[in-house]
Amino acid sequence: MYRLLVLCFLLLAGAQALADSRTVYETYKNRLVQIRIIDTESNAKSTLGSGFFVTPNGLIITNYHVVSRLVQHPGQYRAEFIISDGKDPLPAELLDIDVVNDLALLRSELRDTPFLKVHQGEVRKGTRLYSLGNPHDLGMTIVEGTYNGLIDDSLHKRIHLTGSLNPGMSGGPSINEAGEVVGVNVATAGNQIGFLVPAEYVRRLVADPPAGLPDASALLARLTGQLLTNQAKVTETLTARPVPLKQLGTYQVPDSLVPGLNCWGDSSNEEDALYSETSYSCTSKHRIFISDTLVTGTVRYAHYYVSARELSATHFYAIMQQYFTSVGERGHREAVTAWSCETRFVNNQGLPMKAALCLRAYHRIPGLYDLNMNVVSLNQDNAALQSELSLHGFDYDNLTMLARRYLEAITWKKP
Amino acid sequence: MEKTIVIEILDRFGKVRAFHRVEHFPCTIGRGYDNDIILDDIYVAAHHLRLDYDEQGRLFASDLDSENGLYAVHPLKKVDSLWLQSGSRLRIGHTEIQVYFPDHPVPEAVLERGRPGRGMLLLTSWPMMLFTWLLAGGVLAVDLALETTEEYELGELLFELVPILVFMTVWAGAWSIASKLVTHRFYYAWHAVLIGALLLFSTLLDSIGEYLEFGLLVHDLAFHISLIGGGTLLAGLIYGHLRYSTTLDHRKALRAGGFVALGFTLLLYASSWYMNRDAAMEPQFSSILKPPAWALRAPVEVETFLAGAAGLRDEVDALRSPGVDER
Repeated sequence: MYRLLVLCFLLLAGAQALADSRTVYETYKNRLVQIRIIDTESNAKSTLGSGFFVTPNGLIITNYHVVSRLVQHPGQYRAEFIISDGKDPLPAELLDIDVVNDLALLRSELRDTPFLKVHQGEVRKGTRLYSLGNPHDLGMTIVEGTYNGLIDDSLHKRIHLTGSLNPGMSGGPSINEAGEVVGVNVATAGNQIGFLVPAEYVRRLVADPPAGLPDASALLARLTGQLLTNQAKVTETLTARPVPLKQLGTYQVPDSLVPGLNCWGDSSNEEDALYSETSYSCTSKHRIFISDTLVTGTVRYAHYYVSARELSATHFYAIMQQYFTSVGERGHREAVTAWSCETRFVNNQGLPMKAALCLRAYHRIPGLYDLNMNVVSLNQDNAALQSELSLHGFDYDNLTMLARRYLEAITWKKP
Repeated sequence: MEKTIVIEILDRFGKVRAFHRVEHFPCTIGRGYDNDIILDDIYVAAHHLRLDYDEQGRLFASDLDSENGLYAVHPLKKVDSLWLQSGSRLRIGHTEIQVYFPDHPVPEAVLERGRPGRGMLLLTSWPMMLFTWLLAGGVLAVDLALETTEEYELGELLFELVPILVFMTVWAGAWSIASKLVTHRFYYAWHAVLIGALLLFSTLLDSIGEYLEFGLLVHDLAFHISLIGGGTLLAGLIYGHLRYSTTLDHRKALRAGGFVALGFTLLLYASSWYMNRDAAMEPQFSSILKPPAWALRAPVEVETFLAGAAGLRDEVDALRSPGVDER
């Protein structure tokens, strides 16, 4: 009897959840759209995403990365959308972007459209959310998920959603039971880990739309301006306090520059290895998507402390040489210039080092650069520190200032 | 006084087919068996040519009314008769005839190789070969040992040298066979010394290049030294091999070695360029590390080092191709 009761209860709960999803979907499906970026030459879709009406006068929110081709290759692509319960695609135009937070605002000819309200205020962890979108062009879909707080690396914010986001749902809304947009679907890390753009950025973008339709160069200038403002803000955050330090072997190195960076450490001391290695690396969690060939806005650095007991200096530095290279810094020639590098012996406040400094520029974004700095200490015969700093999308003054702070934080103390 | 002469009968490649010493004049030449010199050439008449001295003692050749006539050579010209000096050449039918007086000078004999001076004798000896190979193998083993990142045993290290030793053996063997075919001697030790020396010096050269690049901070210096130095060594190698396996003289062998090495070096440069044409999309800097004592250039302060970024910024700014892509 008891078992039967439990079973009935479970079935009822399941039915209740089902009813909720169904109600939410039925209520709000006419506020959702599928965004299609059409290649004008073949007149076929080249990118698919989702979006939603955010005002009664036909403004649509989606992700910047869904419509990035309109900014990067305006002559080649146009945008259209399909209302979930409609069939004929309607034209849309790109009105504004927030490249840093991966949002875009589209304008349609429709008026008096039903729309989704943007949530204001705190959301409690554990709140049930409904993510809507059109995954893999399979038709509008609703997915239940849970709000799991903000992912904050002190530089940018994202909402952590436990729920299944899939390609094509990008730009769609994640709403609470009241039908208010809590976040915009933006990315997934697989295994039920999804990311949303917080609703506050949607509100900011909608609050002040430009009066007229911007042309391609105006959009690009807007993108450049947003990136410049963002890097200034990020630099301010990164330099708000003295560089926190961490002991690595006999060296002191920069620790997590701001709270919330992804920092990892590891060490190896295998028996048949001629040397031992201790590593520590930090990466910012947020990346700014610019185009299919360019992602920027990242801060990454790594230290390797390598020591050996019974090696000649010649052999030790031959091994150390393998650490003194840059990996993962390949750029796409369509987006960035080649790297220019210089290598010097540097006296870092008494610590002799070999240092390589590399810079590259962005073809279409003036004033922003990527930096790669690779240094190795030269003060001991069989122990050394190698450290690499990669900064993407900063202006020249900030780059050199950040590089100097970083470099000067590296010191050595006699054990 | 009628001087004895020597007549060379040449084939159409200019190679001497026969010598005839002529002591009695007039001397007739033709296909007929009653001539003093009989030629096997269907374009030559039965009685074709006569050689004789005139009253002043000058040697001359005259055509005996042959169908195909008599030609002076250099320049080729049909004549009825012509005066001859030592070394004069003439042609009847398809046969060329060169006339010499016995006192005509001949060049010095070419020195037979393999009987050279004491130095060369030492260089081409088996002990020298053993010494070169051991030295080259030792240097290479040290070089390999300095690259390994794990504990190793000497045996493992030497095992890595085996393919190189096999190649060197085959290489020296191939050149020895060429030597045997042309000069009738193998000279294996010499060919082996050469390839051993190439291995030794190219390994040393690579190391020197790396130390220089590290000390002077010149990007790619080691690469250029390795390729250009290696090319020069290769020229020397080919020269050495050719001198002992062909009849080429010093200059021709040097030229051949130079061409081969130049071609090889250019090929390596071209292939390196092709493979690395996209390389600058990744940071490229001189990444060689040597012990700190080898840092030859004076260090700069952090401020100066980072000030150099202004130059880099100008460089990459110049590489930008801005503007909206309106494809």
